Amino acid sequence: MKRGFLRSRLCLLFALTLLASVCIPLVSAKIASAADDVIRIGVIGPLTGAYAFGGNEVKNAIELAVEKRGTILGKKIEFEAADATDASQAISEFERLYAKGYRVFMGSYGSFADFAVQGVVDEYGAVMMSAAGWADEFTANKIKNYFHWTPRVAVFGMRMGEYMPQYAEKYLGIKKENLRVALIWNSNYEYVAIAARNGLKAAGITPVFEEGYPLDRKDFTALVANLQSNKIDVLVPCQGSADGVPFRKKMVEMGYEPPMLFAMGLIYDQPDFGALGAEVVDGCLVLSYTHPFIKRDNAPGLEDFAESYKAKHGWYPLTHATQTYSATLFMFDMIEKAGAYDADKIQEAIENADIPKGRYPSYWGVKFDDYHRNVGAGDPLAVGQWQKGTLVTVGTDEIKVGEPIIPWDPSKL
Amino acid sequence: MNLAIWTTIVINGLCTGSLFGLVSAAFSFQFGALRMMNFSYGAFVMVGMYIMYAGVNHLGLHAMAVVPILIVLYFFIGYLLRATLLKSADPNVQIIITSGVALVLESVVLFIVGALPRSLLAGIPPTWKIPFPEGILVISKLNLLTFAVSSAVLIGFSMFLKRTWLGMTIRAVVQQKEAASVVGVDAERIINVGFGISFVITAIASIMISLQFVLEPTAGHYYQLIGFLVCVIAGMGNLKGGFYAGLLVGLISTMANIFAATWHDAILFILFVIILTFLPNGVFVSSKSISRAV
Repeated sequence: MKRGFLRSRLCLLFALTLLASVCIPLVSAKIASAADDVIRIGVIGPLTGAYAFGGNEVKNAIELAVEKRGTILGKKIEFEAADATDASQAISEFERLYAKGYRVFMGSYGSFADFAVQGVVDEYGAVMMSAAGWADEFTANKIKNYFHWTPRVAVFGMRMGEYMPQYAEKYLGIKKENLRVALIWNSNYEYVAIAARNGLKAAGITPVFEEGYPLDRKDFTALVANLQSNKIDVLVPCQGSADGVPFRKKMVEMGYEPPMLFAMGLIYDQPDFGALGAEVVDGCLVLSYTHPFIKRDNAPGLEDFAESYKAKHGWYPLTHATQTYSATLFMFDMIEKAGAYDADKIQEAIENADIPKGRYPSYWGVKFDDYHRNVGAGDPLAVGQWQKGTLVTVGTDEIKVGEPIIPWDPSKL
Repeated sequence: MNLAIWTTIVINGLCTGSLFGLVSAAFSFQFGALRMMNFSYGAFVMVGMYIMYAGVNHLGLHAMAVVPILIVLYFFIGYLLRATLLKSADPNVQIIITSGVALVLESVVLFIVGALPRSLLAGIPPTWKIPFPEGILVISKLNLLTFAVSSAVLIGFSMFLKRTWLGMTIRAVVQQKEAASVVGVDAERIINVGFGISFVITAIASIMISLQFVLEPTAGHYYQLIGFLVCVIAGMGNLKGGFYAGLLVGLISTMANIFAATWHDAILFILFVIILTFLPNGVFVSSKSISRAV
C-alpha cells in the first residue's frame, strides 16, 4: 500500500518534471522574443580547455563588432558568449541562449560546437554563421538556417594547386610537370593533406614524396634526411605546433632548406611560429585565409579592426578573428536588411545576399550557394612569407604588400 | 641516404632515447621501488616545463637560475604529496588520487596560460658540423647535453642509492619496511624523502624536455606513456635497465620514423604488448628486482 503510494507520487513527480522541462523553455522563449527591444547575438564555443585560445579570439572579434556597430534597427545589440568544451555542452548552452531569446548565432573555433549547434538550428528556427572552421563536412548537407563564411579545406587545397606552381615557375623556373613536390602531415591533419593532394592532382602534380606520421612524433631527423635525399623542389607541410616547431627547427639545424616551402596554413601563419625567431621562420611561404596583414586599403575596416583589437588585447587578431569580425558585420547588415530580428527573414536576406569583394575587412565577396557555402570566400587566399620574423603578404596581387624572395636569400631583404 | 646522414640519425635517436630513459627513471623508481602508482607523473613533467618557461620568459631569469628553484620546489612537492594525499598504500586509492591531481594540474595550467603551444627557446640550438665520409655529420649540442645529463642523473641516482646513508636507508625501507622501523628508521619519513627525490628527477626530465620540445597543457600524456613503455621494457624499478631501454626505444623509434613513420606508434606499442606477453618482468631485468637491488 505504502509502496504503491510512493510509486504513484514518484510517477507524478516525474511527469511534472517532464512537463516543466518542455514548457519552461517554450514559455521563456516566448517571453524573451516578446521583449524585442534588443538584437541578440550569441556564440557557443570553447572559452576554456584545449581550444580556449581560438574560442576567445572569436569571442573578442564579435565583442569588437558589437562595440563598433552599437545598434541595429535602432535597437541595442546584446551579445553573449557561452562556454562549451564538448558537443552536449554546446547543445545545452544553445538551448539556454535560445530560451533567453537568442535567434542569431555565430560559429566558434574548433569544430565540435559548430557541428552540434548546426544540427539543431533548423529545428529551433535560429540562424547560424560559422566563420572559423574549414572542415568540408560543415556543408555536406543542406541545412536551411546554417551558413558557412570561410572557404572549405577543399578550396584551400585547390588554391594550393593553383598558386604554388605559379610561384615555382616564376621564381624557380621549374614548370609544374617537372616539379618535385613533397607532402607531409601529422595524423591530425591528414584531411588537410588529402585536400592538398587533390588540389595538386587537379593541377597535374603528383607528389614524389609523401609522409604522414603520428602527432606525438618528437624526432624529425629521419624525415629531414628523407626530404634531403629526395631532392625536393617544393615542400608542402600540414603541421600543427607540436610537430611543426621541432620539425622546422630540425630543418634549420641540419642546414636543409628546399628551394620553396609552401605551407597549408595551420602553424605556419600563427604568432607562436613567428615567436621562434627570424633564423627559424624566415623564408617559409604560407597559404592563409585573409588576415590583418593583407593590403588594408582594399579591405575597408581592416585597419580599424586590427589596431582596435591590438589596443584592447595586446596582440594582432588571428585570421579566425578577422573572419569572424567580418562575418558578424555581415550578419548585422543582414538583420538590418531583414528589417526585423526574425530568423526566417534574416535567413532569406542572407540567402539572397550578393556582395562584391572589398566590402568587408576580410576582403572577400559574399554569395551563398545551395549548400550555403560562401562562394566568394577564398577568392583570393593570402600568400604570406616570413621575412625578418614578420609575416609579409606577398600574394596574390590584389592583397599583397611585398614581394617574395624565392629561393630564400636573406641578403635580398 | 649517405653514411653521414645515417650516423646523424642514429646519434639523434640515441640522444632522444636517453631522454626517454630519464623520463622513465622517476616513474620506474616510484612504481617499482616505492610501490606508488603515480598517474600524475606526466602532468608534473608538463608543469615543470611551464615553470621553466615562466621563469625564463616572464620573470626574465636565466635558465640556469630556474633549474635549482625547480629542483628544490619539486622535492618539496613530492615530499608533501606523499606525506598528505598519498599516505594510503592501496594502489586503487593512489591511482584515483593521482589521476585527480593530474586533471587539476592540467586544468589550472589551461586556465592560467591557455592552450596556445609555446617554445622555451627561440632560434636554433648550436650544432657541431663534422666532416664525414660522403657528407657532414650534424650533431646538436643540446642533444648531446641531454644524453650527458640523462646518463649523469641515472648514474648519480644509482650511486646515491648504493653509497650514501640516505640511499641505503631508502633501500632498507623499500626492502623490509617493518625491519627498518624496528631498528629505528622512520620508514614513513624515508618514503616521503624517496618520493621527493623521485620528483627531483621528474624536474630534471621536464627541464630537458622543455629545452627541446613544444609546451602544451596536454604534453604530459605522451611522456607518461613513454615513461611507462620504457619501464615495462626495462622491468619495473630497474633504473639501469631503464636507461638501456630508453636508448632501445629511441633507436626503434628512429628506425620506424625512417621506414614506416605512419606506423611509428603502432610499432612501439605492439612491441610493448609483445614484451608484456612474453617477458612480463622486462627485457633488461636482472635476477634481482629493484626492490632488492636499489
